[in-house]
Amino acid sequence: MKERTDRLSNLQITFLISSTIIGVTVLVLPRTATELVKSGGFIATFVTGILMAIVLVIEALLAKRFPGNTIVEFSKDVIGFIPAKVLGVIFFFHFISVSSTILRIFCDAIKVLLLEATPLEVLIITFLFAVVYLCLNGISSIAKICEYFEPLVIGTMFLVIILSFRNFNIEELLPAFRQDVFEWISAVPSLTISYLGIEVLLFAAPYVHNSDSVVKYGLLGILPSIIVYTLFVAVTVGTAGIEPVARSLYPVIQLARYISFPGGFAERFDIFFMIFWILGAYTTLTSYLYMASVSISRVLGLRNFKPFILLIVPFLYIVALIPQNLKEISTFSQYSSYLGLAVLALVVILYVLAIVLKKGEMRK
Amino acid sequence: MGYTKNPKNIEAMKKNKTPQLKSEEKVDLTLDKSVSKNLEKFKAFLDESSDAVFREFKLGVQGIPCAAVYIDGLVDKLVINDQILKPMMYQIAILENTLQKPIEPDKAFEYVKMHVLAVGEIKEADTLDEAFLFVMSGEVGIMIEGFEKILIASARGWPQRSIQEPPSEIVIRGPREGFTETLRANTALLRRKIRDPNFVIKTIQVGRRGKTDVAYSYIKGIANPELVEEVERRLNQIDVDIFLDSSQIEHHIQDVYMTIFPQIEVSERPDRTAASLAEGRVAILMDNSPYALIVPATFYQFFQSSEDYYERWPLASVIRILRWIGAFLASLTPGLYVAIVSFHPGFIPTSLAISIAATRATVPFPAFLEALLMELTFELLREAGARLPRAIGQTIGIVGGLIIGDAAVRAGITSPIMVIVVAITAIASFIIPSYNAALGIRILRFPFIILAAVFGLYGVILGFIILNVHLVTMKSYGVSFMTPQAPIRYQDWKDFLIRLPSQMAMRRPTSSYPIDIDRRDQDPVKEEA
Repeated sequence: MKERTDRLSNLQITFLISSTIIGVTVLVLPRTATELVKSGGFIATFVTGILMAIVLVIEALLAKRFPGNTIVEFSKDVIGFIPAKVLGVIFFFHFISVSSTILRIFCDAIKVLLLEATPLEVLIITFLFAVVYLCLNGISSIAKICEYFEPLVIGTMFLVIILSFRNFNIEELLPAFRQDVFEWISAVPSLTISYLGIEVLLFAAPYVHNSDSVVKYGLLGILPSIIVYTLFVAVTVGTAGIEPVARSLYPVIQLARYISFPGGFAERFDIFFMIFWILGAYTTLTSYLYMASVSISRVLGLRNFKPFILLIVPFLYIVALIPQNLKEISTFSQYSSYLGLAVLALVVILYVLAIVLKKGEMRK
Repeated sequence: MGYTKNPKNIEAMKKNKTPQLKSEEKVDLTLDKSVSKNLEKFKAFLDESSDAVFREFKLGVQGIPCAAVYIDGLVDKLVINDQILKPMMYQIAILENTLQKPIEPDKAFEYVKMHVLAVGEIKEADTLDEAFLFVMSGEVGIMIEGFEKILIASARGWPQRSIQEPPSEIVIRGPREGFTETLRANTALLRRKIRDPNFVIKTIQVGRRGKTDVAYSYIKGIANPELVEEVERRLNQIDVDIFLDSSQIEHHIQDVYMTIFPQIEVSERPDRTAASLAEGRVAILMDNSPYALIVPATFYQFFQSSEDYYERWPLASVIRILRWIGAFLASLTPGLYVAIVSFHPGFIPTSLAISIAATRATVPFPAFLEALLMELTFELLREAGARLPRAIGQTIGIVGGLIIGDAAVRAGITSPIMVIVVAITAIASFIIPSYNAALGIRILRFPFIILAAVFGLYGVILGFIILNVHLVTMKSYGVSFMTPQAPIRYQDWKDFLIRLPSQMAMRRPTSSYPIDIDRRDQDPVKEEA
């Protein structure tokens, strides 16, 4: 008896998208948002989320026009052979930049918050080992792990938000709506990195069992991240105030630390939160490594992506160690965010071109 | 098939130059018309075995030469004497005399089969190979002069263990019977629970020399034909000479062998097996083994006990949740203890951290070594107790648990907290109903202790991730091992973490892909569609 291992259920797509989006950057998101837009941070986060949801719908529609292929393959039908290869390479570098950013932020956070004495290199290598182990098992195993871990991750995040309402002070947020719309929009490029991960749809869609409802289940996938992110930014600012959040290294950890564990069983809720945050980081990085290896293998015209995983890993390790301090990590993360936004823009352009040139399957 | 394998012995034989036909030499496996020649062929193999019985006799008035072959100890002597030998030697003569019609020698075979042998099960064997299999299974081979075939009369009867309560799966409420070592008794226990003619029990022989009967059973119309085919395929490709227990078959038909988790459910209980059959799964029974193998299995089935279904559902659900906690504690407690004590003492309330630190002040070892030492001691005690007679085993438990634990604390080798941790792990590990799964889960705590000692909580989480990736990628007969959690199948969640009332679970679990999903006669969903 053979299960169709190369097929993903609609629910798996939802979980795959949601767990690729929610990951490492949730830790620093309130800081970035508050730095840029002050008290309106949560609105900017929400606006970015809505924009990303629109991009996600475009991605889903694009994937529906070209069923059975990843973006690297079907883009050559729209823009020709050479540009398609260039696009594939851009995608590859985008995935590398995002994965090394999140890998570095993750390992830095682990080092600062859990294991002060352990060298960064050891943390990077151990985490990469676990990521490679899952990645080698292919998309269906990644999807299974996502639907296993994601409820735990989102559940813990909601728990932190709910338990924080006790310390929440709405006055901290009050000047929020008095800001200019332009201010919110200007924060979008820097906040994009938190929502990056929606590209996974372009690589998972070929395996979807029932491609008709991809749009619906894709939107369901981005929904938890919009809610969690917006609430996180709002609650951290509402609890600690604008200035402390903007200056805090990991505002969400700070937020969790304020919580007293119900029943007094454990003192530090932030460690409890981190345990599940690691699971979220794990699924995100695995998806990115998978996408990076698939995109480069498709650019080279090969079906088997597994050898590329092992080739990419040393590369990731080196890139992740390039930033020397927190400031550089911040800058690095900002540039990956910009690159991510550019890539998403390319996807939208590709979709427009596909409509204009009437390429791919039309909707019935 | 052949009994002519060992060339070394043939050379030895030739040197000795024994006149008699020997089993190692090439024996013609076809049967002869002459009884004496057939007997000689049998004797070539069996003459040296003391349990083989050859009984030559004459049939009826005309005295047609006959012979019976059987294995002493595997047959019921009463049946042989009263239903086989007596009619053939004595009663047939009376019949011939009263009818005044002697039997014709060329029809003797049919006549004996139809009129003389008062035995329920009669078969014919056309080759020596076939005849051997029957004789070795405890049947009687009857040769009649002038026929190139052997009559096989069933007279099986050997000492068997009576049906007892299964020691490895004890329930308070529910049937008390368990499988025994006899295949027929086991299939009868199943048949008594499922009287449906669609309940199929197919038997094949497995093992080149052992030729053990292996039965695989399923309910036609529920079990997925692809699953049955796969079971058949895997059973048929086994090529090993002797099997002693169904666990050895399990090793040959499982999916992954590089793992500590069983992927086939094992049960001693006919009720549990029958319930699995009704879920569309396939049960494999083996002669000489009281354990049925049930495929496909998922990880979560190892946390279910048949009593879950006999107890009221809220209580059964609470017990099931207890098992999850048990599994979690059994594998993670020592690791978490080591991680928190040596890396993150801030995680626990300050007062507790201080009291732990105070008790650990006199302990000369790091928490890692302390945990490893105590867990190892516990495993030693458990293993020592497991193989001993029950009375002594208990003594070992008391001596080990109470005296060593107390003495270790007094001597300052370990802290009382560590003794509590070990005790919790020990108790928790026995709450998992499936012994083979519990063994794997219990062993897990050692890697977790090591990971915790090196990377603290991060290491424990990393171990947890790798463990779950391993579980998720495994499959049992094409079914993902972590169904219904990954991949998620919400319709199966009625009987997963908790058990909902049976009225709400009228559908069979989808994990084994049954072709008939509804337990009821009429499926409302099907009718709607």
